[in-house]
Amino acid sequence: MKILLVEPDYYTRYPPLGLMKLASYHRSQGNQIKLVRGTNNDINFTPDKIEITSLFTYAWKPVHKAIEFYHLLFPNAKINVGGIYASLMPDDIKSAYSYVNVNIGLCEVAEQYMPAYDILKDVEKWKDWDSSIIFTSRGCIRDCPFCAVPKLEGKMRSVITDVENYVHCEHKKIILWDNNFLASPDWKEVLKNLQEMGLKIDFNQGLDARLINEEKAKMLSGLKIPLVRMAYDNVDEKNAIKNAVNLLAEYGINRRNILFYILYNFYDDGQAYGDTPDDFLSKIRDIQELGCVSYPMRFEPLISKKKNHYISPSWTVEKLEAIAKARRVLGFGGAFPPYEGLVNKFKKAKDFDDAFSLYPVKNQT
Amino acid sequence: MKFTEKSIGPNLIEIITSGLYDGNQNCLREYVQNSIDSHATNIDICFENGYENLIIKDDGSGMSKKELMESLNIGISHKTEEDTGWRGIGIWSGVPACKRIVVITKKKNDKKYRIEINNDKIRDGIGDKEPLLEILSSATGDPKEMPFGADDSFENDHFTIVRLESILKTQKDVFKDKTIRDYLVKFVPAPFDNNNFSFAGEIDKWLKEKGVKFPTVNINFGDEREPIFRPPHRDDIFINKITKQEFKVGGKLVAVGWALTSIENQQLEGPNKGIFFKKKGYTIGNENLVRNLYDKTYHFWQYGEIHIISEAVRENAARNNFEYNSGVVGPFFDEVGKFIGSLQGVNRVKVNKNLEKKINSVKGHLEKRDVKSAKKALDKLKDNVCQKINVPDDPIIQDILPMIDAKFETDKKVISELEEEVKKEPEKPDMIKIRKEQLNNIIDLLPPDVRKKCNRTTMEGKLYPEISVTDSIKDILKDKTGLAFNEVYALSKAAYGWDNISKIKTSSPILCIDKNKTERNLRLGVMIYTIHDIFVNLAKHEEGKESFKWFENATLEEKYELAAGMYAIIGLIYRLIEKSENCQP
Repeated sequence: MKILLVEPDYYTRYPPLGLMKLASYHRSQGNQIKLVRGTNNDINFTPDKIEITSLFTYAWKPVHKAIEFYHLLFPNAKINVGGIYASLMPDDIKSAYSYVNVNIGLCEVAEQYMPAYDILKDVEKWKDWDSSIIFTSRGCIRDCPFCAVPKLEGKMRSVITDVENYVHCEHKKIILWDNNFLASPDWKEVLKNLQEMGLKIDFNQGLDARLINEEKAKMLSGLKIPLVRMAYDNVDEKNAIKNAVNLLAEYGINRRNILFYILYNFYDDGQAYGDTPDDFLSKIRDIQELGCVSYPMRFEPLISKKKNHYISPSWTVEKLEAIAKARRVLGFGGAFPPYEGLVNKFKKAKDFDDAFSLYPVKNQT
Repeated sequence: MKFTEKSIGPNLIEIITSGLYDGNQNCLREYVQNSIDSHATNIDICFENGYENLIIKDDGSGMSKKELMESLNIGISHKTEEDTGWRGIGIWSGVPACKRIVVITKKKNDKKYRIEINNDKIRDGIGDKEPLLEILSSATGDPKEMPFGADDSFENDHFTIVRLESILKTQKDVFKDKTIRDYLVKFVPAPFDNNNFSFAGEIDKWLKEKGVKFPTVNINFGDEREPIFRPPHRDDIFINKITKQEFKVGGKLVAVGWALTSIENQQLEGPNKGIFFKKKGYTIGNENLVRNLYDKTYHFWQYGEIHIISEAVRENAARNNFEYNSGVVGPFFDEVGKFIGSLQGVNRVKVNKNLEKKINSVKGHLEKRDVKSAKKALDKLKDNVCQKINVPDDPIIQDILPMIDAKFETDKKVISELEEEVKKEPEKPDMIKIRKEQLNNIIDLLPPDVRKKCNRTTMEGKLYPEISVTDSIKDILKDKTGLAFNEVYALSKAAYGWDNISKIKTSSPILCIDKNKTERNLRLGVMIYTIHDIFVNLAKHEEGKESFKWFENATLEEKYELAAGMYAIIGLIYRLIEKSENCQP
């Protein structure tokens, strides 16, 4: 059988891991595969089946476009659509295209396979990709109302521990996509194996600051982690975060290399409670005080079809825009590093508006 | 004693798989054998996804569902001794190499089936000491019928694909392009490369006449399906004479062998060396198995094959030796030992008669116009020619002797030609002496401070101005600029590599050679830093060393010439710095 794997033409920084695993699965079944990105006429290959992936719900358009395009090009091929958007909003696809089969959640049969990184060489955008992406665990111990992980992946479980067998021979970097790595029952074994390999590691989805203790901080400091990512979602977590940063710093991790994702604009309808602009400012101040970098993360409902559209009852358009502007003008790469001037500006500010207002700089010295 | 399920332990699997072979790439031979036994004419072997998966695909008859299930039996095989892989290990041999073994197969007019063995489960089961039958049952899935695509044909398609998926990290040193290709070349029944090995036709014909069975199958490796040929891969290194030998025990033909002897006296290299036992085309043991049958000093001076014909000579299960129990192997090995002795004897004669290397050395000296050395080497050669050589009365040696003698005669002619040439060549002046004088003359022209430093070293030391005299530049730079050496060093580093010139452009040059000409100041300033850096750091930079290879490898004459140039430059730089003004604010 011949299988066409399609990554729709949406913005992303990471190659389609699910499709790469499916590619290995299909090869193992004796099938021929081909990967394309976007809509591509130049396929010397008539597929029996087409597998299309999807990403965030707000990037739905390229997915629909791909479905229509390949259905027209190969009317006899069966079309399967999977991925995050398809799993969260299956009816959105089914109702529009009756001929499409939607796969919800993880494709368990493909999970055990090493992703077929070699097929990325055929796609211009990914031809120089040089990192191995690995999930050593799935799911999360927490049930945060703003997060899709519990809905997509469910309860926390360890998937693999022999990470060394999932690093491609040509790769020098490892990206872990575990949603809450430190909560995995096998975190220790995996950290040991990672340390033995000595490659650069990115805990891409962030580490849970609340779970960092002395032992974990010590082991993490033994790895090559250029940037430690964590999250500061709720002001209640202040003490846990302070503790985590101090522990990591004690074991030699540079505070400047610790980045916190700062959630804002979230409102929990069930609890009738959401974060406020003042919460946001105090979270940024806390992180700056610790000497770390903050990276604002604007909340968007899980099934939003348009990016940056939602406005929490506790926020206003103006305030949200002020953050966006400040990130561009004052920040660096969308983040607020602990630059002295910036720290002072936020520290001295009377309130949120004062902190995020932009006025011309009068005196450079 | 009655055996039960519990009397067979899981270690049996280990014994069968990893325990049976010297290296895990040996599983490839098992898979190639299975393919050949299923009458494949083409076998394609390639890696997939880097070195993650290894795929062996053949166009053999394929297997029905029943046959596929039977192929998983251990130690039971429906193959006869006519086939090669008759011990029934086949599919399991890849267990220690990878995470999963997948077999996909199809017979003509039959469905397509797939079976998967989960090796991790076997490994875990062995670790947990579970009963063998339980481990095997849980690790092996049932044959599954696979769907057909639009291009697949129920009537015509026939193949077997073996996939070793997710090769373990611990195996990655073995499962690489080169190691796998080398392994295939050495051990599987591949044909000769007719284009590069002109003896192929004669050897093939002779082996066939003598009843050697050799499968005709094309084995291709890699994405480019590069054909695998058995060695030798070239013929220009061998004397143009095939030595053929029949091995008989009790008057019965047991094996036939052939060998080619190298032209050069040095040992052969790579795939083109050694004598190998072959059975049905497969190599038994390696080059050391034959070598160990000869009890004197052995050199890899031949390539050859000894093909076993008799069924009485049986290889062991690991195929790295033979079973001695038939009473034939012992006497056969004695015969092989004698054969090797004769072949080694050929070279002992040849060593004294092959003068090519020495002739080349004379030619080399003449090319360099080094008449003195050429004469010396030629005198030695003449001694060799006159030497008395004893040739043993061995038919194998006598057989090849005319070839060696013919070469000896041509060599003699070349020697007398060389003699004539040497006579014509005048001895040339001692250039090294001349260059030394030139160097000393230049040193005399240097500024006094530099000259003093030069003359403190021996003539030999003068060859390394970067060690002996750059200190004087360092000193004057410090005097003129007031900068510490590490600051000068930083400037030098910034300027090193002419693309970095712009970094200096932003500020005025630190040394002002001519007040009115900024551009000139700049260029000369950069030149000073750069040259200083080259001299000072020549020995330190790995890259510098690399790019100065030509310099390191220069002849002594050239080295003196180059050193003279370097002193001239140092002299110029010293003067430039000395005469410059310091224009720092």
